[in-house]
Amino acid sequence: MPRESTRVLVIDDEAPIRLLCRVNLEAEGMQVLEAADGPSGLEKARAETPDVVLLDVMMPGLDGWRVAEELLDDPRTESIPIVFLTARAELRDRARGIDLGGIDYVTKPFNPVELAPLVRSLLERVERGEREVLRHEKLTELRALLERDVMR
Amino acid sequence: MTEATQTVVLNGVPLVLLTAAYTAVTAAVLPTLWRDRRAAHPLDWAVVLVFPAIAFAAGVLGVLAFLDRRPLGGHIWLSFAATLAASLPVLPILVRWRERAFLARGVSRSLVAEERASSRDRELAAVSEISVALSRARLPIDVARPLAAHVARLLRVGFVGVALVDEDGKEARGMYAELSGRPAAWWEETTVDLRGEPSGIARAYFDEAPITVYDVPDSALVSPRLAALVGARSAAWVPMITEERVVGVLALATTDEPREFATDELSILQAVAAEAALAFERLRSAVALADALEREQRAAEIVRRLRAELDPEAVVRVSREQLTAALELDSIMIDASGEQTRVDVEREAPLTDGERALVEIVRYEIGAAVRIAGLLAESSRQARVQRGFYRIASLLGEPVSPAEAHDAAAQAATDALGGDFAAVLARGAGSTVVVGGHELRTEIRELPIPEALIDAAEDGHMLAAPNIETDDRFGDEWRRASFSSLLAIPVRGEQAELVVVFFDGAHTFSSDDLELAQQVALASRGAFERSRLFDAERTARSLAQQLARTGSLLATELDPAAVVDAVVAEALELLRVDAATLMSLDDSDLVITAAAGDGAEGAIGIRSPLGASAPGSVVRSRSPAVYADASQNESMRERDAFLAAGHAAYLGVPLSAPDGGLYGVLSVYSRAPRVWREEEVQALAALAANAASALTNAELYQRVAIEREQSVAILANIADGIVAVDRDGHVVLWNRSAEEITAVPASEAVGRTPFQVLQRELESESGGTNRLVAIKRGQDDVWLSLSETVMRDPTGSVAGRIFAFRDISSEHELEQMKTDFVSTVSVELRTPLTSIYGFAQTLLREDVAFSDVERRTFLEFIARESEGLTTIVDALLNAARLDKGDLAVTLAPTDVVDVVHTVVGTASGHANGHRFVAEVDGTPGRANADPEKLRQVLDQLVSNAVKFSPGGGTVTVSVERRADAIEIAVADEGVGIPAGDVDRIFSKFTKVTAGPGTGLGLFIARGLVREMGGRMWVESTDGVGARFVFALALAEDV
Repeated sequence: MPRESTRVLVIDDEAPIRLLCRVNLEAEGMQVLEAADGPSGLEKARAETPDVVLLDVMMPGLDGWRVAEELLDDPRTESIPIVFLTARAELRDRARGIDLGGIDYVTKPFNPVELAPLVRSLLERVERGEREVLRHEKLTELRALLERDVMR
Repeated sequence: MTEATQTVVLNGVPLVLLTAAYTAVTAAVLPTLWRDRRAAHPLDWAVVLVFPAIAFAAGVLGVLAFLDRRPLGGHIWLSFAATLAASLPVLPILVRWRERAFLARGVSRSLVAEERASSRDRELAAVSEISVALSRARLPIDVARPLAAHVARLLRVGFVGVALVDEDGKEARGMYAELSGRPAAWWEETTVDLRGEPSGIARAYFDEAPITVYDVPDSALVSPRLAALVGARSAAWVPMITEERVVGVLALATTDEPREFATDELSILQAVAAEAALAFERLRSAVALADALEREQRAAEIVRRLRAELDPEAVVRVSREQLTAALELDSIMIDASGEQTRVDVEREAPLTDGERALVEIVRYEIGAAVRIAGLLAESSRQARVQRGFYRIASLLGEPVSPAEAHDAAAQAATDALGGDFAAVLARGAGSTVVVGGHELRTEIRELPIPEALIDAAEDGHMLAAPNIETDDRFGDEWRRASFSSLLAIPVRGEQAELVVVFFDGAHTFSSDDLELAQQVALASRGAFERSRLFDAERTARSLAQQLARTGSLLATELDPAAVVDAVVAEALELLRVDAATLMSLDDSDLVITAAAGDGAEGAIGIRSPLGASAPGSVVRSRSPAVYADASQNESMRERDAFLAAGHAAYLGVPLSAPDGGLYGVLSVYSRAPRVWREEEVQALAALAANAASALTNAELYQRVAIEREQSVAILANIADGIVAVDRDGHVVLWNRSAEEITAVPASEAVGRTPFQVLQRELESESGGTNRLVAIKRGQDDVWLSLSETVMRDPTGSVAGRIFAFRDISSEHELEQMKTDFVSTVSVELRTPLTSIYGFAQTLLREDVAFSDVERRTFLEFIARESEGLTTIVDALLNAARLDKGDLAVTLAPTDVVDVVHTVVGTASGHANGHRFVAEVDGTPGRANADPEKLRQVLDQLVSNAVKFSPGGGTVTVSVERRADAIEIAVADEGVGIPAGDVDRIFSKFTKVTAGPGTGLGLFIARGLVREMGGRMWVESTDGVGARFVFALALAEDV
C-alpha cells in the first residue's frame, strides 16, 4: 500500500540525540520533527499529529512521563504511539513507560541505525490494531525480567 | 271711484269697525275683571284699559275720515294698512270670544299657578328630607322629633304631635310634640284611651284614614282636654300605617286661625306618615331583636357557668348569683332537692316575657346540673373504691417491695373509705412500728402507738373510733391529735399488720364501710405476703449477684492492703450494714486492719484481746457469731470498739486461710437491733472465703511482682529496644530504648498491639533474627534491625513474644543513597555515551553517503561528549579523593578578582539567555587559595546558577572584603532551594531536583573550599533564587 513517508516527532532536550535520530531516520526516508522540551513537544504533536513520538524521559521542566500523560489525555494526540527514550536502565522505569501507555522503550545508549527498522515494525503492528498486544508483550517481558532480578 | 268715496270705504269704514271691535272687547272683559278685582294684578288692569283707549282713538280718526273725505295723512292705502294692522290685537279675542274672560285675570292666574308649582316642589323636597331623616334614626325619638319639626314647617301649623298606638290597640301614648316651635313635654305624658273617649287620634286609628276638623272647639270628634291643651283651631289627624297596621297617629293643628287642609296637603301628610310608620316599625323590630339576643346571651352565660359546677350546692349557689345579677332580683328561692326544681323570684317590677323565659331556662338547667353532679359524685366514689382495689390487686402480680405494698394498701384503704390519710403498722423487732402510709402525718410516727391499736393488730379485730376526742381507749396525745376519727383494719398477716385510716372530721362507720374494710384487709394480706416472698427472693438474688461481683473484684485485686479495704467496703454494701471491720489475728490479740462505715475513722490498729468479745467468739468457735442485739451484753460491749460506740447488732464470720489457718474475723455492725437472716450469714461467710483466697493470691502476686520489677529494671536499661507481648499480642513491656527508637511512650504502647502502636506488624511467620523492618517515627522512616523470640508455656502454645530491635536508619539511608548515586551516575554517563556511540554507529552506516560537513559535525559531537565524559569521571575522582582526604591543594596568595573576571568572562561567552555580572567591592586583596581549585569552585557555582535559572536572569558574582577573609558570592534569580533541602544540598549524592548532574558538584565545591581553609554556605528563598557564598582567608602578605 503506497503511503506518505512516516513522520516522527523526536522530543529530547539533548541536541546531539535529536540530530542522531534525525540523520538516521531521514536516511530511511522518514520525516523528522524535533522538539527540545516537553511543552514545545506537546505543541508540535498537537499541530502536526506525527505518526510516532520518540520521547525522552529525563527533561528539565515538564518531564517525559508527564508529556506522555498529556499526549494520551488529549483526544487529538491520544492515538499517536509513543516510544520512550530513556537513560534510566532500571526495569521499574521502563515498566512505568509502558504502564503509562507507551508502546515501547529504547534504552540509551542505543544504536541509532536500528531506530528506523524499530519504528517501522512498531507502526506496522499498531496499524494492524496490535497496539495493546504490543504493550502487553512488553509488560510481560518486563515482568519476567523484574522477577528474575528479584530472584537473583 | 272718487277719492272721497275711496276715503270713506278704505279709511272711514274700517276705522269705525275697529272702534266697534275694541269697544266690544272692552265691554266684555271689564265686568269680569271688576268682579275679581281683589285678585287682579295691576298688569291685568293695564292690559284691559288699553282696549277703550284704542277704540277711542280709532273712533276719532274714523269720524275725521268721514268728515274730511280725504285720505288720512294724504295716503289712502297707507291709512288703510295702518287700520288693518291696528285690528290685529283684537282679532284673536274676537275669534276666541268665549275665553275672553281669561284675559282679564291672565297675569294673576299665572302667578297663582306658578306659586302652586313651587310650593309643590318645596313639599316634595320636605317629604324627601323627612324620609332621609327618618331612615337614619336609631331611636323612636329620632323619628318623632324631625317628623314633628318638618310637618310643622311644611304645613305652617302651630302644633304637631306624634302618638304611638300600643300593640293591642287599646290606647295611644304621646311620644313627641312640638307646640309653637318648642317641644311640648306634657304630650309625652299623655295617653288616649282609644275606645273610651272620643278623639281625633281614635278616629284616625279606627278609620285608618286622615281626618280633618275645620272648627275644633265646636267639634264633638276631638278630645276636649287635648284641644284645650293645644289651643287648636283647625286640626288634622293622619294615621301612620305600615303593613296594614296603624302604629300611631300624626296629629296637627293650627293655633292661630282655622284653615282648611287641602287634599294635596293631606296626601303629603299621608306619605310622610307612612315613612314614619315604616321607621317606627323598623326600630321596633330592631329593638325586639336586640332584646331577644341579649336574653339568649344571658341565658347562655348562666348555663355555661352552671355546667362548670360539679357540686349540687355550687350549682344552686351560682344560679342564684347569676339570676339575681342578671334580672336585678329582690329575692330568689331555689329548691333543687325535689323531683322538680323550683325557682321563685321576686322583683318590684314585673318580669317581662323574655325574663320569665330566662328563669325557666335556668330552672331547667339547674335540675339537669344537679342530677349530673349527683351522678358524678356517686360514680367518683365508686371509682375511688374500685381504684383502691385495683391498686391492691395489681400489687399481687407486681414484684413490689414490702414498703411499697404497705404504702399502696394505705392508699387503697384511704380511697375506699374516703379517709384523709392512713398508716400501716406492723410488728417489727420486738415492738409494733409504723411501716408505711398514705399522706401520712408526722405525728403518727412521733406519737406512741396506743395499746388499743396493738391489741387490734395482734387479735385481728377491727377497731372503729368515730370520735377519738371522747374515746377513752386512746391516750391524751391521740385525743388532741389533728384527726377526729379512725378505723383500724387488721390484716392478720405474718407481721400482724394493721391498716389505720384516719378522718379529719367525726365519722360514723356504716356496715358498708366495715364490709369494705374487710375487703381491704383481705386484699392487703395477699399483697403483703406476695411482696414478702418477692423481697426474700430478691434479697437472695441480690446477695448472690453482689457476691459474684465481689468475687471477681477481689480476684483481680493484687495488693493485699487493697484487698482488705475492698472486703470491708463490699461487706458494708452487701448486707447494707452501718459498719464493717476486718480484724487479723496477731498472737492472742485481734487487730483491726480495715474498717468501713460508721466509726471506721481511727479504728485501724485498735487491738483487743480475744477474751469474751464477739469477734473473739468467732475465733474460738471458727464459726459465725450472730447477735441481733449485742448492746445488752455488757462484757461484749466493753470489749469491742464498735459495739462500745453504739452499734447494737453484730455478725462476724471467720476468715480462714487455704492452709487451714485463720487470718482473722470479718465483722459487720448495725446501729439498730437487727435480726440476721440465714442467707445474710451465708453471704458474709462466702465473702470471707473470697477474701481469704484473694488475700492469698495477692500475697503470692506481691512476691512475683517484686521479681518482675527487677527484670523490668534490667530490661529498661538495655540499649536495644525490647518489646514483650502477651499471648493475645498486647504489649506488656516497652522499654526505655523502645520509647526512644519509636518515639512512642510506654504508657501509650502497653495494652495495645504493636500494629496498633506502630502501624506495622513486628512478628513474622518465620521469626528469625536481624530482619529489616521500616516503621514511621513522625514523618521519618526508621529502619529497624529486628530479632524475635517466641515464649511458650508448658503446653507448647505461644505464651508471648519478645522483640529486640536496633535503629539502623542511618546505615540504611547511606546504603540507599549509594544505590541512588550509582543510578544517577549511570544516567549521567549514558547521556554522553549515547552521543558517542550513536554518532560512531551513524558514521559507520554504509547505506548513507554523508557529506564532509556532516561527518565533521558528528565527529565534533563525539569529541565534545567525550570531554563531558572525562569531566564526570574527574568529578567522581575528585569526590573519591575528597573522601579519602588526599586531594592536593597548593595554597598561594591569589588574586580572587582576577579569577572571578575570568570565570564571568568565560560564562558570558557561552551565555544563553543569562546575564553575568562581576561586582567587586574596592580592592579586596588576595586570598590564600589554590587558583585552579578556586576557579573550579566558581565554575561549579556559576554553572549551577545557570542550570537552576531556566528562565534566564542575572547571575551576579560578587567579591567583598571582610575583617580577615574575602567573601565570594554567586547569586542567581532562579528557582531557589526548598527550605527543607537547604541542609542537604552539600552532601554527597544529593540531588535536590531531577535533571542532569551527578549531585557531586556542590559536594566537591565545598570540599575544595574546606581544603583551602575556607567555608561555604547558602542563602536561598524558594522560588526567588539562591546565593552561594564562600569565604577564604586573606593571604598573609596583605
